[in-house]
Amino acid sequence: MSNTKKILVVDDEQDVRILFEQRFRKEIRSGLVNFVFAYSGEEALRYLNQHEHEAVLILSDINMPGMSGLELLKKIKQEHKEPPPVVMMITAYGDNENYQTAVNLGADDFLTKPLDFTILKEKLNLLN
Amino acid sequence: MDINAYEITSHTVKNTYMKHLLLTLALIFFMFYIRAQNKKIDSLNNLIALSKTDTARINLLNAKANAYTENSLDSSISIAKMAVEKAKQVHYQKGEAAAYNILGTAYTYKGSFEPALYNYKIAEQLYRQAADSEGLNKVYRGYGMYYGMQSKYDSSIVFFQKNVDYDERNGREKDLTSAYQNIAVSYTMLSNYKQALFYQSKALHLAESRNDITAQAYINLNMGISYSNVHDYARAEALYKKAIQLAQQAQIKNVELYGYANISSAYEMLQRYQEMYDNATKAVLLGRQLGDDAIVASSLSRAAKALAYQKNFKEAEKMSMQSIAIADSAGTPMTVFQTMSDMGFIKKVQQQYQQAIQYYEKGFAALKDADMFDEQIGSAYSDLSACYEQQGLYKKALAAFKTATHISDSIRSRENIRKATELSMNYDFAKKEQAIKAEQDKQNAIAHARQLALIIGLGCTVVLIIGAVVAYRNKQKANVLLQHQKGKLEKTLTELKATQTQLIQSEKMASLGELTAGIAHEIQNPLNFVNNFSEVSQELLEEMEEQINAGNTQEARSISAEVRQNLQKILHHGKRADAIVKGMLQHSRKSTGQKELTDINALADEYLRLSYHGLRAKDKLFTTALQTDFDKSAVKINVVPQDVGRAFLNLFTNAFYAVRQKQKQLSTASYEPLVAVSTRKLENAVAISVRDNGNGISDEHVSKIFQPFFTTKPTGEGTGLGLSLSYDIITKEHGGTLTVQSQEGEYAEFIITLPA
Repeated sequence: MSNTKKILVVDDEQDVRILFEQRFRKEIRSGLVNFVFAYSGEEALRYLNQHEHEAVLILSDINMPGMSGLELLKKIKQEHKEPPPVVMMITAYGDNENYQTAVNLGADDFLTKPLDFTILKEKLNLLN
Repeated sequence: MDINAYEITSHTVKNTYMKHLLLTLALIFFMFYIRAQNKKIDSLNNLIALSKTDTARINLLNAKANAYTENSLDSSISIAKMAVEKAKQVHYQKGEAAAYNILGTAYTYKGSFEPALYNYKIAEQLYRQAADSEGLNKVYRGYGMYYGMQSKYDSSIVFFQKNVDYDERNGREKDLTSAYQNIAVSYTMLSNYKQALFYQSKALHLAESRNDITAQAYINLNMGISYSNVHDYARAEALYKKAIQLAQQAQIKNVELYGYANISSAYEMLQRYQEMYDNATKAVLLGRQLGDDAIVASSLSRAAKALAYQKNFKEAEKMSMQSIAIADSAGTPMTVFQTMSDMGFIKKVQQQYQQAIQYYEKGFAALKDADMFDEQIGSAYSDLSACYEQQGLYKKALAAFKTATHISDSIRSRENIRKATELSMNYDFAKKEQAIKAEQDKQNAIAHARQLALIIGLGCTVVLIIGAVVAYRNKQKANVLLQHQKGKLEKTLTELKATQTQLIQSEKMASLGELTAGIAHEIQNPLNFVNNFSEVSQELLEEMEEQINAGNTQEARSISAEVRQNLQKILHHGKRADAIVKGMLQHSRKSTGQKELTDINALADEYLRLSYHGLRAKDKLFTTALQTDFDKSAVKINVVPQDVGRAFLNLFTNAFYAVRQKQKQLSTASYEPLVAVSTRKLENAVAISVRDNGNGISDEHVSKIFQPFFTTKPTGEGTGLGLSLSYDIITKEHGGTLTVQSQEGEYAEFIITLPA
């Protein structure tokens, strides 16, 4: 199991679960990745507190009711220091300002919706 | 049959012309043939008894019927019908036509225009068959009167013009004088004073050559009135003087009377108040002699006004009270108005505004039902406006001022005609002088002495013209200045209106801007699913084929179930995007103003999401808890969804702004921003509450919050129109209410109720 990467996906859209599971079905089947889903920033924080150091990668939406993705990012980077999890932000706003804010808060990468899974997979491979 | 022409004018005066403008300028026309009426009927009766032939009898019956048109229309009609029958029996076509023509006239006087036209048409047809152009000319005169009495002056002019042509062609000078006068009356009523004066000059020329003093007196008076109408009071004065002199000579008292009344008005305009007073007094005396109460009252009032101009207020008021009493019993609205407004003027000059207002108001009350516009009424309104202003009644002052402006605007169009008239009139006069001169040259050989008199006369005219030109120049200068100022004011007003429109538009655009970012977010999310689910389904189908080829039906079936699920997801998210785009279009579209049954919960929810995401798009770090509590029993209600949505959007944006401000001020730890939206079904309404736990609104601001342009946001951030527009949408457009409750530092709650 040590080879398996655990990825936490944070998005208020419930359908992301099916989408990610289908898109990564081969990788899941072969045990390369394992996905966990949280539907709000708060839920994501709870998971991280309970399962410290489990998730190596966090993919988070920015626009969510309640705690926003950026706030989550800030909290993760402040509180979960060692080892620093990789956080990629995924948002519908592809503008430069949004990008800068995310980068300033410590985001490791920035992706826009509609999500291109080929690019996402390439980025994941680079993490190795 | 000259009588017809004169009757036309006298009746037209009574029925239509009098009720128009001209309250100081009493237009009068040729009437002098009518006075002998009774004598004429008596002698006609004798002649009928003595007549020997049928045609002579029919002619006399017609003459009698015609005479009766002046004092007994029903008698006239029955006699004319008798004449028709008799003429038919003996096949006397001309007599029959004449009788039909008289019937037309009698019915026209009665105001029964349908039978009038019917009878005129028969007369016209019979005269045509008989090729009797003289008869046709009479019918045309009838048509002219028929249209004139219905205020269709353009048509009446067409027929009077036919009279003029016919009479000119056949050298019927006496008829021609009245034809000119008739056509001049119609042009006067159309405010075409240039044409009126053109025909009046022709009539005068003719009357002079026929040495007809009576006609000259009337024409001079009417020309004076025309010049008064074009504000050429100097020329008007000379003509009135001439008319008075001729009227005295020919002993026509009413012309003399109207001469005094009109010249008094002219003197007021010329600011020669002693002469104004003298002539008004003469009119009062003569009016009493003739028993004409209306003109006594108005002249007395005029004399009182003249005294007020000369600051003799005590006498002025006394005289004015007398005039009011007489006007009251004489009972014509115009006279009542004139006496009342003159008294108002007298009070106003003494700065007794309260009393002045009372008199003006009484005066206007008398005019209430008469739809009248003239300069005197207009200036009375602006005087009243000044009185209101002095009394601090600004709203009323503005209303009166608007009425005055309205009247002066409607007169201004006439003014343009006047200007043209004055310019061309100088030309006309020059032409007329040339004509007179040419004629005079011919007579030179006969009488040298006359020439000398003419040269003096010409000299006088030239002096008059120079005087008129100077007066006209001065007036024109004043006009130019006034026009300039009016233009400036109008421009400022237009600019203000444009700015207002722009502001409202920019408020709409601002709210659209708040939405578009939210919309972008809302639309990219479903697209994310549409794109990815279709792409992954393709992969799944390939995999399914592989499984089928491998004979792995179980696996293939499970993949096919996944694909089916994906297709459903694609459809679902596609529809979601569709709804968002439609919503966006709906918002940017101009409100149709059409109310439709709308689910208020769904509307509130949609705009809440859009405005939240919109704000988040601009302010990345902003976040707030949203709480919705929608009353499911709230039925659909009839509203204009775009407009109510706009109001919602404004309330939501304000709520987000409030919590955001507080969040910035306080340390993040202690404060949890919350915006709560709830709906409730009431008995006959639906209530929508938007509550935030932001900074609240101070008592001082609560009272102003719905006023246009009130904003607490920094310059450039708010137009100050959002809440004011929302307020209008909810209250004015939908008959609902929009209220606010707040505790400063704690919360603000806006509550909308919309009638269900």
